[in-house]
Amino acid sequence: MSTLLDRFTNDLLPGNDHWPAAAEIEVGVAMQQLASTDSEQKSLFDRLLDFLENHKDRPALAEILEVKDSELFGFAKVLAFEAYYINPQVREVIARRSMYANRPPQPAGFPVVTRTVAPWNEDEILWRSDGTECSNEVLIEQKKDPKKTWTVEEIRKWRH
Amino acid sequence: MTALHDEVNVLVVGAGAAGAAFTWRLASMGVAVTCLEQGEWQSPESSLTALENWESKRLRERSANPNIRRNAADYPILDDTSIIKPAIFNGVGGSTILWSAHTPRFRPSDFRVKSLDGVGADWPISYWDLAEYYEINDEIMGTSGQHGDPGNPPRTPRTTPPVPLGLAGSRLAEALNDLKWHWWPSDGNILTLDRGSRKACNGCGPCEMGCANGARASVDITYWPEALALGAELRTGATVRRVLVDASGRASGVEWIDQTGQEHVTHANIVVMACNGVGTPRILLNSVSKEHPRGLGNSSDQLGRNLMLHPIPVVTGVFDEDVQSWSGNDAFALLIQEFYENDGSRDFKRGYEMQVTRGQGPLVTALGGFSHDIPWGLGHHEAFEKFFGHVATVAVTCEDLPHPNNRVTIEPSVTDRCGVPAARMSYELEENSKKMIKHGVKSATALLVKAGARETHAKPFAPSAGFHLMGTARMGSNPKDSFVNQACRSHDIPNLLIIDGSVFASAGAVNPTPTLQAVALRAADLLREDALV
Repeated sequence: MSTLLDRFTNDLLPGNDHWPAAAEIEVGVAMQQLASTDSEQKSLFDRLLDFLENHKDRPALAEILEVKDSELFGFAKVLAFEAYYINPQVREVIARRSMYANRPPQPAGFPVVTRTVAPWNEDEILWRSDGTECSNEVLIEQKKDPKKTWTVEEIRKWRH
Repeated sequence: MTALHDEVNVLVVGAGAAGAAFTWRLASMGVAVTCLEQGEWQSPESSLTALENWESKRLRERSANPNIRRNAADYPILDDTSIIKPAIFNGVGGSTILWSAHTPRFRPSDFRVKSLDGVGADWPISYWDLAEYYEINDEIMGTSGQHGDPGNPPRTPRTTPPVPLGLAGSRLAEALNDLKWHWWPSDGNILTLDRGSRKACNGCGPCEMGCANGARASVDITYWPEALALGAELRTGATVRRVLVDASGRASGVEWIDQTGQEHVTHANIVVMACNGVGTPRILLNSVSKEHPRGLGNSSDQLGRNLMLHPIPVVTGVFDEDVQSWSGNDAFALLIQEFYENDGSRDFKRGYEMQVTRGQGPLVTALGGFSHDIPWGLGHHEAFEKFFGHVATVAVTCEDLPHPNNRVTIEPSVTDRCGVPAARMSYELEENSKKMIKHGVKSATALLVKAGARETHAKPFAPSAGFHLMGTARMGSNPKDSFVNQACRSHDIPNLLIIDGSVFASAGAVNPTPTLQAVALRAADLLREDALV
C-alpha cells in the first residue's frame, strides 16, 4: 500500500533541489491519519487505495485517476496537499524561500507592514438621495461640511 | 416520551447576530426574554489559530459549509440545486463566529430599489429609520474605521482607527487614487486598540477561524455577556422543531429537543425567529398544520422565496513584490463603491461594491486560494512560489435581485440529529447578475493591473460564498407579496416576529450583518413602543 501511495503522492508533489518529494516526508501516512477522523473521508481513502491497487502496474497513477475518476482524484489531491503543507519540513522550506514567518497565527500575530495612503475624494459626496426630505437635507448638510463630526443625538433625529 | 412544559415572556430562537442584538435590547428595557440556541458556546481561548496544523482545522472543524463541517449542532442543507453553497455557523454567536467582520452599511437607495430603479422590491422602512440603530450596533460591537466617507451618509467617529491597509492594500489604494475611483477605509468590527477585555488586532490573519484575543467581534463576546448580565436567559443545545399556534391563531410557543433527546414545549407571549435566511424558513415551513398547510404564516406563499445571496466574482492579482499577503486582516480596510449606484449607461440594473482581501496561508494557497490554479506535478512548486505572499484579491459583491424561484424549501427525506427535516437551497444566477459580474470582473482586473499586478486570475463567482442569506421572509407593506410588516411582525400571526436577514426586501451590495442587527434592534424598540412587552 505504502509504495503505491508513495508513487501516487510523488506524482502530485515531486521533489526538487529545494522541496522534499511527498514520499520523503511520508505524506501517504499523514493522509491516512487525516482521513481516519471522518467516516466519509475514510471511505473515500479506501476507494483510493483500491484504485491504486487495481492500477499498480501502470505508470503515472495520478494522471490515470484524474482521467478515470475526477471526483476521487479531487479528494485525494486535497488530502495530499493538506498532508504536505502542514508538514513542519515543508513549512521550513516556505520560510526559507519567502518572507513567511513560520509559526501559527496566534498568539503572537504578525506585524502588518503598510503605507499611509489618503483617499483622493474626501470632499465629493457620492451617495444618492432616496427622494425623502430627510435624505435631501442630510445631503445638503454633508456637502456643506463633509468633515463634520456628527453625534448620535443628531442622527437620532433622522428617524421618522 | 412526555414533553416538559414551561412558560416564558419573549422567546427568541437563534443566538446569532440578530438574536443577540434583539435580546440585549429588550433585556436593557427590563423585559424578560429567553433565547433558545441549538449550538453551544465557543471558546476563543482555545483558538485553532494557535495550533501548528491550523490550516487543516480550517478545512475541517472551521469549514464555513455545514455540510462539510458536520458539527453536532449543524443541520443538513441540501445544496445540489444551488450554484452557491451555504456558509453558516450554528452556536452562540451564529455566523459571526466565522465572519471577517467587514461592516459597511446599506445606502439609502438600497431601501428604494423599486421606486428608484424599477427592480426588486422596496422596503417599507428607510435608511433613516435605521441610522440610529446602526450607531448603537457599532458601539456595542466595537467598530474600527474613519468617519467622513463621501460615499455614504454621515456617521459618528468610529471606536478605533481603521485596520492597516498592508502592502498590497496600499498598492491598491494608490491605484484607486490614480483611477479616481471611490474608496474609503471601511468600517469593520475589528478593534485596532484595546477595549476592556478585548485586545487590539495583532494582524494574525484568518479572522474567519475565530479571534483568540477578541479583537474581531462576534456577538458571543459583545451582546451576549451584556444581555445575560441584564437578566436575559440563554439555553444552549436546544433544537427547535416547530413553532406552535393556539386556537386564536396566535403563536403560542415552540417545540424543541434538548441534547439528551428530551422533548420540551416552551410557551411564550411572543415568538421571535432569528435563525438566518435558511434556518428561519426551514423551521416555519416545518411548522405546518391544518390552518397553515404551506408553513406557518405563509398565506402569501412568500416564505422561503426570493433567496438573495450576493454573487461574488473574485479576481486575484499577482505582484512581483513579496507583499506578505499571508498576514493582516482577511478583508483590508478598503471600501470601493465607485460602481455601487444604478447607472443607466450600463446593461444591468443596480451595482456592486469591491472589497480587497489578502492572500492565504500555504495550504489554501496551494489549493488555489480564491481564484488561481496551481498545477500538481512538476510545475507545482514553481507556481506555488509565484503566488504565495505575492497576491491580493478583489472580491466584487454584486447586488442580487429577488426571484421567486431562488428559494429555500424542505427536504423531508433528510433530517438532522433530532429528526427535523432538512432545508434545500435552490439558486441560479439571473441575467442581471451575469452582466453585473462581467462588469465587476473587468473593473477588478483594471484595478489590479493599475496597482502593478503582472497577471490576474478571475473566477465568475465564488461557489463557497453563500454567507449572505437574505430575503426568504421579506418585509413589505402588502401582505400578498411579503411575509412581515415594517415592524418585522408576520402579516398572518402578529405575535410572530422574524428579525434576521430573511426580512430583507433587497440585498444591497454590502455585507448584511450590521443592517440586520439594526433591523433587530429597531424591532425590539417597536415592541416596547407599541406596548406589546
